[in-house]
Amino acid sequence: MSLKIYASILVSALTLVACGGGGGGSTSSGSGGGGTTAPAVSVSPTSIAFGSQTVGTSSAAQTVTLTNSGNASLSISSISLTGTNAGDYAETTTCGSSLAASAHCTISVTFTPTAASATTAAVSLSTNAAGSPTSVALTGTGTSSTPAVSVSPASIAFGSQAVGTSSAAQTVTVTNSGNATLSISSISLAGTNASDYTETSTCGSSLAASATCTISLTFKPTAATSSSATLSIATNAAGSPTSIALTGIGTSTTAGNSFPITIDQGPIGITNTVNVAYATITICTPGSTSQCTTIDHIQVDTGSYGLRLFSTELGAAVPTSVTDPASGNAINECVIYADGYTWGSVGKVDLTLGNRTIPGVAAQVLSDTKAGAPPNTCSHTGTTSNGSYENTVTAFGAKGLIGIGPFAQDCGSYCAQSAQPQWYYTCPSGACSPIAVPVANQVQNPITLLSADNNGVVIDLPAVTAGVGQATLQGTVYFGVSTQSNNTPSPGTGWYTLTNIGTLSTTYKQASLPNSFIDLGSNGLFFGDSAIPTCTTSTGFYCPTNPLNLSATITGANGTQTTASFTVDNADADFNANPSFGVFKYIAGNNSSPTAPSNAFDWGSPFFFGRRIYHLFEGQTVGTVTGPALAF
Amino acid sequence: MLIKRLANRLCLGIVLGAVSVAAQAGLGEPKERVEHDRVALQAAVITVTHTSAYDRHELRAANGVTVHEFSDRQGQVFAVSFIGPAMPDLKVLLGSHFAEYAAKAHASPSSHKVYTHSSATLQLSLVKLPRGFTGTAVVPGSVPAGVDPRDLH
Repeated sequence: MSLKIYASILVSALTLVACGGGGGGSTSSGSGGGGTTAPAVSVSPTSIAFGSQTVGTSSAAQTVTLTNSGNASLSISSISLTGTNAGDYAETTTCGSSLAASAHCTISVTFTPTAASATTAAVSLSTNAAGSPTSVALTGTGTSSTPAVSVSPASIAFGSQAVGTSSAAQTVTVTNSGNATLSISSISLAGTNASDYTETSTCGSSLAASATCTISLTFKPTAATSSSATLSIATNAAGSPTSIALTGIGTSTTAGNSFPITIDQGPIGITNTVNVAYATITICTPGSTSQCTTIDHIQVDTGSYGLRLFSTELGAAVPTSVTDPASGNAINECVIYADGYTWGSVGKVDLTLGNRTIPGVAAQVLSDTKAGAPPNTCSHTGTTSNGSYENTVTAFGAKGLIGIGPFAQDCGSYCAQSAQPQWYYTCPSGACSPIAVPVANQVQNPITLLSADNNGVVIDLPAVTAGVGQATLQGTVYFGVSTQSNNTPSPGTGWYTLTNIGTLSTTYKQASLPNSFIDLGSNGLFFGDSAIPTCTTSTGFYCPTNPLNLSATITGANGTQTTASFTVDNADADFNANPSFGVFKYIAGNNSSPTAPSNAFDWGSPFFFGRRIYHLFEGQTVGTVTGPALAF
Repeated sequence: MLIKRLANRLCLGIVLGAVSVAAQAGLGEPKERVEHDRVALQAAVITVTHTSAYDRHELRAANGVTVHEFSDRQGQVFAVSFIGPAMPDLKVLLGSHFAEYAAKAHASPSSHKVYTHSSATLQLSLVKLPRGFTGTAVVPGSVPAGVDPRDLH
C-alpha cells in the first residue's frame, strides 16, 4: 500500500532529525485503512537516557520530535512530565495546541537531578490521536561525584637565571582527583611578569577521573629583578581557577657573580671522561688586555684548590714567575694524583671567570719547560722513570683545573711550616729540593681573591631527568654565599660543617665512614661494598646485574643530618649503550679492597645533579655557621 | 668497548730517599719492628692500645701523619693505616709489600682521588681527602678472627 510505504519513509526521516539517545520512532495511527482521515502521533526518540548527571547541575537539552503522521490536524491538549521523578526534569516545546498533518514540532527536555539516585519520568502527550496519551520514557542518574583538581607543586621557584637565558623546564602535574570528568577550559599565565614564563602542556580539554596531565614551564627573565607570575588553570571543578605561583630572579649578566660550567665528554681528542665538569676561562699576561687566551675544558673541582694550566694551552698569555722570597729562585710545584703526577712552574696570570677578572692569580703551569724535569720525589714510586707523568692534556683529561672548594690554598699551613716533598720546590742549577712557602705565596683558590662575593661558591647543576644520562649538562657556579640574592640559601636549608680536613660523616649499611666528603671532582659516588660486582671493562666502577636503589646518611660535623638516596647502575652497560653521553646519573665505583675497606664515602658529581650546593670557605661566617661548611 | 676513566684526583705521594731503611719493617713484620718504623717516620712516641685480638701501635710522624700499625697475638703486624695532611712514607709502612704496590701503582692508572689494590698478598685502599690523605693496608688472611676490617683505622 502506498500509504504504508510513505509512512515508513517518514519514520526514517524522523529518526535522522531526532537528537540524542533513545530508541527509534513510533507511530500511533488512528487509521486502519484508506479512506478515513485521522491524525496520528509519531515521536522520536521514544525514550531518552540522560546517563549520569551531578546533583544540582543541568544536563544538555535532549530533543523529542513529535510528528503528525496522520492526514488530519492533530489536537494537542497537553504536554506534561509525569512519573516518580518528574520534578527532576524540565521541558520546553515549540508545539502549539494543534499540528497540521505531516507537520512536526519539538520538545526539549533537560535533567537536573535533586538527589544522588536513579530517576525515571516520562513526557506524556495527550492528543486526539488514537492511543493517546503517548509517552517518551526518561531515565537519568543523579550522582554526587564531581571533578576535582589538584596540582603539584603548588608553587615553583625557579631561582636565579641570567637575563635572556632559559631555565631548565619545571613540571606541574595536574590530577583529576574527583570521580567525574574534569573539563579544562584554559591554562594561562597572568601576573606582573607573565611574559617571563612559557608553558606547554599535555592537558587536553578534558581529563578523566584519576588521570593526570603535565604542564611544563620555563623561566626566561627579561630584566635583572625579581619576577613573579601566576599559572592559572580554569576547570569545571570547585574553586576554579587553580593558581600556581611562579617566582624567579633575573640576574644581570653584567653583575657577573657567576660563570657557566658544562659536563661533557671532555676536550677534543678525549672520549673517555664522564661526569667531569668543565669551564671556559680567559687568562692574560698580568696587566695586559691583549696578551690573552680563552681556554675551554678547564676541569672544575671542589676537592682541590687553585688554578692549574697546561703550558701548551697558554697561547699569547705569558705567566709571571713566582719566586721563593727567601732565595729568589723560581718556585715549581708537584701535585701527585693516584694515576700519576703533575709538575710545573708557578706563575701568575690575570684570570677572567664569567665577566669578573681576578688579577695576579698564581697558577701551576703544567709541563712548563721552565720547570725542567720533575724530581723523583714527585712520583708514585719514587722514580720518575717508571711513574705515570700526566704531562699532556690527553693524559690529564682536561686542559687545566680550577679548584674552588672550601679551602683557600692548595696546601695551606702544612707547606708553610716546613719544606715538604710532594708540593713546592726550587730547582737551582736543576737540582730540585722541597721548600716551605708562606701561605700568601702559595697557589690560591682564585675565588678568595675576588674583591667581592669571595666567601664561597655555589655549585648549581640541574637534575638529569631522562634515562641514565645525557650528552651534556649545563650548570652555574656563583661566587659568594649569602652576598647576593642568587647565592643565598633559602630559609631552612641545612648547613653541614666540615672538619679541618674537609670531611663529614656518612653511614652506609650500618658502617660509619667518618672520612667522607662531597666532591665535584670525583666522577661517581665512590664507596666500598663488596656485595656489588665491579666492572670488567671500566674497572673501578660498579656493575651490578640490576640497578640498586641504595641510601646513606650524611652527618655534618655540627650534627646536621640527612639521608640521601641513590641508584647504582651497571656502568659498563650504561657506557656501552650511550657512547655519545658525557653525563651519567647512576655511576658509582669502589674505593675499597675487601679486607682493607676505606672509611670514606666519596659523594662525587652525581650527588650534585639536581642540587644547589653552597660552599662556605674556611674561616668565613654566614649567620651562625663558620666554614668550611656546605649547605644543600 | 668504551673504557671510562675514573677522573677523581688523588694526590698520592711516596716519600723516598730521606731515610735509608736498613731492614724491611712495617706490614707483615714482627711488632718489634714498629720501633724501627718510629725512627724511620721520625715519630716521637708510640702509644699502644691493647684489645683482646690485637695491639694497635699509634705513631705520630714528623710530617703530621698519624700511623696505626696493628699486631696480632703472635706479634705480627697484619694491618697498617694512616690519616694526615700528607702521604706517609709507604715504603716504611708497607715494608716488603712496597715493591708489589709500586709495580702496580704506575702500571694500572685508574683513579685520581681513589686508589685500590687487591691481590692475594696485599690489599690496599687509599683516598685523597679534601685536605690530606687516608689509607689502610692489610695482608689478606692475616686478620685475626672476629676482627672487623672496618675497625682497622
